[in-house]
Amino acid sequence: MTIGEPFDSGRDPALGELLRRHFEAADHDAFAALVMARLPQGASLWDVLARWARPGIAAAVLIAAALGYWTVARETAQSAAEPTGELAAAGRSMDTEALMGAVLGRSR
Amino acid sequence: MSGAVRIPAESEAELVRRAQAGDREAFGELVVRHAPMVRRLARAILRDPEDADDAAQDAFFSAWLAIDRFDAGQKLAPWLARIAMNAAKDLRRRRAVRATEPLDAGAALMRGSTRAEADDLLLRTRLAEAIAALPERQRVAILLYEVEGYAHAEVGTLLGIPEGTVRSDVFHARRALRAALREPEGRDDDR
Repeated sequence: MTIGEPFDSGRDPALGELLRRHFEAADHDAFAALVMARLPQGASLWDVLARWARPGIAAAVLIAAALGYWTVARETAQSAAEPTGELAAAGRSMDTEALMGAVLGRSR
Repeated sequence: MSGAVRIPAESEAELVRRAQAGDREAFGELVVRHAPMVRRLARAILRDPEDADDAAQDAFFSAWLAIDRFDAGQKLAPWLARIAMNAAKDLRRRRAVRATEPLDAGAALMRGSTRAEADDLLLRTRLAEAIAALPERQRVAILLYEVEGYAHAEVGTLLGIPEGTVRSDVFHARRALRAALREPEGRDDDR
């Protein structure tokens, strides 16, 4: 091999060839066949799912948020209505705060 | 790029375009053409041949998944080289990569060899030991420069380091390897 000067910046073909031989792997055709066998055939089910994942998750979040809001609003309205009925059933007069709460709760 | 992979630009661009359109056969042709470079690079990082081939396979798999995002006007080799280096480092993170010893000269092998074969085996053994002793970045830098044919600046871009650092890495790696090949008894004497 060429023994060049220590500060030369050119390539050393002899050293390059030794390095190539050292790092070279065998049977590239068999390797390529292995690679190709691993590749997905066309658009797989996972590809389709992956394509739909982001909008699907966004839609699910929106639906969950709407359902949550609807459920909370419904329960709030029901719980606000209860004291009126209880007070009325007990034959007691309602104070202003309870009355306002009941009215506002119903109107939501 | 002044790379060692000499492929007519048009034909490679055409293969890339076909691969981007989902043509597996075209991608297979690109795999065949670039497998030697990708496998060498993975070996320079992982050293164990089996791990290196696993990483090289991962690299081509990633390349297939990302080929539609590749700019067909660019050279494919540097893009693949970058993917290969990432795949090798990723594989090393994911699993404890098998530790490798530098190739042993194999006294038994040498016994039945001719003088020339024994000398060649000894040379390769010393080279393997010296390569194994190099820091990873120097190992990859000298491979990209001396074997794959990239310029210092291109190696710097691929490795994400300044050109001056590449020159220094290549210089030190080359000096260590030359010393190992020249001085069988006292490898570190002239460092």
